[in-house]
Amino acid sequence: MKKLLLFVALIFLAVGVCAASASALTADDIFDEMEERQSEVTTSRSRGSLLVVDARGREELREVIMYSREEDDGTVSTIFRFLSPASVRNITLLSLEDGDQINLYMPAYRRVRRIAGSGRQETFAGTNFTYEDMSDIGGFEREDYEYELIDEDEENYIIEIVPLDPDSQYSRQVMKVDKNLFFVNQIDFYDLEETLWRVLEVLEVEEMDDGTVRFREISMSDLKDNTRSDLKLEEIEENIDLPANFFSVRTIQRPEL
Amino acid sequence: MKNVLLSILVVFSVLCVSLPAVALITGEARLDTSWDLDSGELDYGLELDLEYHTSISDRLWAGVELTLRYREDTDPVRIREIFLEGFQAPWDETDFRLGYIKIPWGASDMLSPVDVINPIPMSPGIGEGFMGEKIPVPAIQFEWYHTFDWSIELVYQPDFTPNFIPEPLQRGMLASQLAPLFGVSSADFVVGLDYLEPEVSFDRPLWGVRTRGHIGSVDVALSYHDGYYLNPFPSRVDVMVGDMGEMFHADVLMGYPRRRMLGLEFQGELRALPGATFRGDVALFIPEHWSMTVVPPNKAESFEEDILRDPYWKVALGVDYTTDDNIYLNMIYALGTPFEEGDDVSSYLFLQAERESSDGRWKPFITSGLSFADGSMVNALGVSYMPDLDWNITLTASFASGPPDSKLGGIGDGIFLTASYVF
Repeated sequence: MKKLLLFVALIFLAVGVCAASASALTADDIFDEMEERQSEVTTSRSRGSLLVVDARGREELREVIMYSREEDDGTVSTIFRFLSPASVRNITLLSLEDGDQINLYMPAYRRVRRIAGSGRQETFAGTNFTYEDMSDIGGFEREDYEYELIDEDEENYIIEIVPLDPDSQYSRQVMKVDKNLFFVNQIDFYDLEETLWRVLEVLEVEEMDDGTVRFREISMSDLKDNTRSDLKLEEIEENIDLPANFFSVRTIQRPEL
Repeated sequence: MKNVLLSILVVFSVLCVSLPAVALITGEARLDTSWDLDSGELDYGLELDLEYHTSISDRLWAGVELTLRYREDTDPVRIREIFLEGFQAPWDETDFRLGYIKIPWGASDMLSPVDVINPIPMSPGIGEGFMGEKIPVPAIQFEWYHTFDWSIELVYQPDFTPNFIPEPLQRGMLASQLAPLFGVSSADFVVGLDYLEPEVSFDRPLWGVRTRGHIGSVDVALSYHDGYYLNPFPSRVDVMVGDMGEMFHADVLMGYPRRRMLGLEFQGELRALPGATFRGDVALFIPEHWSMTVVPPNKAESFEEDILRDPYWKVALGVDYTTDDNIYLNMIYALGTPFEEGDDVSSYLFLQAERESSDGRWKPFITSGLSFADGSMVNALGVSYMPDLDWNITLTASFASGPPDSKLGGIGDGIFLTASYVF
């Protein structure tokens, strides 16, 4: 199930800056344009923070580090680790090949636990994201959805996306795509009762020298629980050298990454 | 003495969270209270776990983890781990750890029969940490990643550390075991204990080997361990007529039989049951032949009783599933517990259910255990509350059914309250 593909695609994709004609575009044209303008990032290392806000407005700030690599077959493998505070330090998630295999390292027990089956739907370490959300980084697979350009405003194209997966917890998603930069500005997720459930917003993007942009800060809100998780990246390195066996159970057991 | 220890704990706690000089130390402060509903006794303890980890190079780390505790009848300071560890050291394909370390084997969430290396303390009940605590052992753990997916792990232990069983409890268990041989009740037996530990040294170490990797979508590991039972078994019992009012007095020499273990562990998804994750451990134990020589009173003829003879199996097979309502269910079938060996091994079913509130603060849970051998049960109801990420408060009420000498009835009834703060 690809619940938040667009969220994670957003994290790991940088899109080119280009003013495009707004006339007579279809949803496929827009997705084509987005794919065209992805920068060639095969590996990346990012440090940042994750702010978790509960229903009473209390905030917890966590330092995070992330690694990702696009494999030869187009799938993406990632490692996500909390660096602080002490209660979650070094809890590390490994996702191989778009979440085909997910492992969680729990330093307190020195154990690596396989996350599979319905366990993928559990939320990850108190955040608004499930294990599957954290792993669905392979990009938007159009064949998994029905989609249609339903509207546009001055700044965005508005595309409705209906998942074909009968087990999806969403009835539909409404995505706003920036008309100038062709990246996702916001996604609204509706539950099976057609109630707006979660909202993903891009809070900050950065324009690069080569004309691409990449996100700096996003926010995922759960409107039912009135909770929020804000992910902010402060250091991003792209196309770095990573050993062939870096994305492995062995690596996530290291004290430092 | 208790007041001095308490003062030290409090001062050290304040120092650890306030002084920059020791800011690299992290840990957890924990208050445990338990109320035994059968005896009415209230017990409490304060523990301070301290961890200090440091990198020596980009491939070498060292760490010290200690527990300072304030509780009756326990050591005030306990080593949780002291280690040196290397990743991609000394060669790119190898990792190692050495020191007083914990080496967890097994995929099962509890009662793993292949998790034989570290001793465990006897758990006072089925509250938080039930069967989860381990005692470190002096050891070297060396792992060679010979392919991307598979590794071979070697464990070398030049010393022997047994399970911690409080002597009063051990005496009671032995009295229950010996009394039927003389047609009396266990209350009529007073037991004196002596222990003979196996000779383990650098030349005669305990050792184990384990290979782990993936087969399809399943993580698997095969293991072999050559060591000794961590629980003591009686080898010689000299029974005398009691002279202190009791009917019998027995001097018991306890020993630790040699044991070889072949293990299989696995965790993964099976297509036959969509959504379920399996975690399981299977172990074959091959004991040395161990018998108990009983010397009755009044120069009657001694006799022997076999305790361990034939190989036997222990198993923990679990399946966990998360419902659409975010209820986590975990069911484990166990053949044998860490305190059952040989003919004593019996079957249990454990069920755990928990559901975290949507804001992640509250988590009510239930854990139930049923012995198929005698129908005794234990049920624990509880709730965890996290006021914030650093604090955790857990209240558990545990109720057992069955006679005190049954498999689970002896756990008794109790209420446990734990409050912890991570810094």
